[in-house]
Amino acid sequence: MKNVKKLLALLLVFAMVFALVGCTNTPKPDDTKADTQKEETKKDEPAKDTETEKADTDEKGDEPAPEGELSPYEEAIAKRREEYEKTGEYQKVVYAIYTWIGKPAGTERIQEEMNKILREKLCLEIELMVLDFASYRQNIQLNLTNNDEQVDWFGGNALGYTSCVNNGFCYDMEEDNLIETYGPGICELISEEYRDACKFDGKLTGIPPMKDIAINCGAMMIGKEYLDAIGYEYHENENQEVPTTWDEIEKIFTQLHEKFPDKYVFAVGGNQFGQGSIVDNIGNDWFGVLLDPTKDKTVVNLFESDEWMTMVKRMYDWNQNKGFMSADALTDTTSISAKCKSGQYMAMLSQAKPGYKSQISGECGREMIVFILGQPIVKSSGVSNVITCLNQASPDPIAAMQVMNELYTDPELSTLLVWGQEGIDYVFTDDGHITFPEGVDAQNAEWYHTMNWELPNQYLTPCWVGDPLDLGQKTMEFNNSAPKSLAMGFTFDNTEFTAEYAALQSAYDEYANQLLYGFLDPEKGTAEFNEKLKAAGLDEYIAEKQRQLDAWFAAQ
Amino acid sequence: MARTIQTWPNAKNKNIGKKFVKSIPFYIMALPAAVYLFINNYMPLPGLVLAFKNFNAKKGIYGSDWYGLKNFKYLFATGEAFTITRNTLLYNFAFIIINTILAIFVAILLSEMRSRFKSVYQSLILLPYMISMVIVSYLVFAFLSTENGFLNNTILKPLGKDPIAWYSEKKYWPFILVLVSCWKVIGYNCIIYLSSILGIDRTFYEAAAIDGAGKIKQITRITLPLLKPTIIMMTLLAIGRIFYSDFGLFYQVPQNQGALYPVTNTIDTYVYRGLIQNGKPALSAAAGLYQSFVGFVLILSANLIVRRIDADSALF
Repeated sequence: MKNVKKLLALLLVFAMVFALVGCTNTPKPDDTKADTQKEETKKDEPAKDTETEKADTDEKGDEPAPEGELSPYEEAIAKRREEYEKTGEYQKVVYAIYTWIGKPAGTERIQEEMNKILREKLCLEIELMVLDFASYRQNIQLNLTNNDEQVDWFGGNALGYTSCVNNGFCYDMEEDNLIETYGPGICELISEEYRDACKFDGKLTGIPPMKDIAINCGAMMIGKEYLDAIGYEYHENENQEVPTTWDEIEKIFTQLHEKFPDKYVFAVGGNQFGQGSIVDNIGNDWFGVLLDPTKDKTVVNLFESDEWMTMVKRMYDWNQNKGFMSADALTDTTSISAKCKSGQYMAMLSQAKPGYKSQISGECGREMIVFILGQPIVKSSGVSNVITCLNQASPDPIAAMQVMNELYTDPELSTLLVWGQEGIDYVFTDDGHITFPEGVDAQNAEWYHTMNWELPNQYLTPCWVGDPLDLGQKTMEFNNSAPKSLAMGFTFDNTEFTAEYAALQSAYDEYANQLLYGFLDPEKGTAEFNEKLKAAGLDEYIAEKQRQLDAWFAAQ
Repeated sequence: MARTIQTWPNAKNKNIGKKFVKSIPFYIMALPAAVYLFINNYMPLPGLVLAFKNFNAKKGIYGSDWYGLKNFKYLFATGEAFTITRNTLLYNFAFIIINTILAIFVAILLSEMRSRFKSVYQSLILLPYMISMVIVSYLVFAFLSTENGFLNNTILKPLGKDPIAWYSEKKYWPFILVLVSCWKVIGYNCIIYLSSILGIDRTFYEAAAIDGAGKIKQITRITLPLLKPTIIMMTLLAIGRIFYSDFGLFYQVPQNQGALYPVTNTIDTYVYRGLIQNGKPALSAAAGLYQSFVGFVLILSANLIVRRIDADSALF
């Protein structure tokens, strides 16, 4: 009896000790079960409830059959209609979107308006899953791992595109010619060159939205009201930008600081270095970069470069000697545009593109003047740094692709998604721009997310007041005219270097922001930082990056 | 065990049957907890294979390729391993010792207290335990914020001292974390000790008082020795979790500040950050398994030692 008790106690202890592994670190068993069940149903009953990949291939087999001369595209819709007549329920496609502000109040209304069109056109419904960026990452990642809730389209860049691909989250859109058959409009808009730049291992695991691929790095935004208060004169060029220098900005900041001693001048946050320079962080991390990406193919350590030292020295001076930053800048994780919106901060650093003035003025809730410190460039990840991926567990990739095709090509749907409903979220002005209706502004709007660049095709929509009416054309010109990084389209596979990467990132987190926000002595801090990075395996990591880059160049 | 079963005569078996019937209400009472334990703690066990897999969502957990011990490499391959292991162990040792001593101290004070407000004190001490770590982190921030914090503005300024950038100075954090942990946990631990103390037969104290023992003598000679089994059990349980750290305490309270990593990074926070950056479920499964395994070994060996010293107090 005593032995039984002992054994029982041992078992209990065992269970208790291992409990944490169960509840936090591995997906719950019911989830995995559901997952495998889902997969089973997928395999066994392809035609039940949803069409699946199998149905897709079956269909293709029948393709030549002259069944009423329907193209596979139309046939998929007809099939859904049949299904709908039987069940009376629309199949849905879930599109997960992130915003800086969470779910706008008008989400359900916009979704319903979009569904009115989609029910008619494709005989299905869309569900907009809108989350704020921080929770997006965690929620979507978990969902992609155990597929508890349906997610079809998601923003791969929010989770790290490479890691999405490595974890096998993304559907290969060229499998069975999915994108050619069911997304012809997308293929037309996103050229082969751009699609190739998104490929991993020859697989099309994501597609970029229609947006600026080039960036105008080093854009300093300052609130117009503050500039007017110090009487600063500036002249915007035809792109609504003011070319300037770092020294000039410093002068403005000094005056602003004198005039408004109660406000902070400069809102720091995000990756200040990436925004402010043409240095190309190939492979989407800072451990091994191309300093002059349009000319030089050598991967070097950024933190030993002059570019880095100049930047951190300036920031140290701005923070410690000139007092432009908040002493709590390191702990305050509010986004920089939200800081400017609060009225406590007057300027922020980002990167510009055509029409940026209107976007950032929207985000900051006040008119911002865009000063340009750098130059335009297309970085290696330019095409894929905002990317939309299709979940490999999507119950119906065909339906998902058809919806995405509509979002890329239908102006009405696009306008709803980007700007909302006419009369409620926007009204037309006399000259063909759109703006807020009476009584609505950036602060109380129900659908004004300013996430245009994340959504499939912002250029099918009317232009907001302040934007040039030919914004789309201007952007395309901007994309084509900017010098391209030699490594454009290169992706770095660090699977074999996960340990090093984690340690490097840990060192980066420890030092980078302290240096970039001017809280640590530039010389001493950078030296310590480099020591830590080297100990974490920076040299091997850079060598591997160079090796992969050289191989990539050779294959081009 | 087999031997015992063999020697049980039939009559005894009947006895057991009777006993079982008699205990049915208790089994039913225990059922929800047992079911919970089974679902939450036993059913996920097969998922541990994830630690040895090269996870691919397309293939699922069980269908992914085997990956050997490569997932574990990331825990040990870097210089960080030493720091995070040291932090985890030392902080937990400090917590075990300090929190136990303080909790017993408070429990004894409460048990000796004859005030009508006793229950009020008890609730007040327990209150911090109920507060979420996220909120605690902002309470701490209210004290430590460089620009607007209580310490810098209300205490250091009148004293004519320079403000301290608390969130970039490593040296203060071991003390801050221990303090916060004490403040939060003591109320809960002291209830457990208090209930043990209240369970002690009052006649011991009466007899001791008659023999002329003062309060201090009563505490050291009666209360503490009788508390020993509880202390040992609580410590054993804590040792079993010595490889885990309170994630909220080490992640939220220092506001995830990079500058503080050398003194606040523990295995849990390191794994969490690694997971968020790498996005690899298999890595965190490996870390979880490693922590569990070490915890299991630790609790077994601690129990073994306890049994050597005092067999009755051992768990099994």
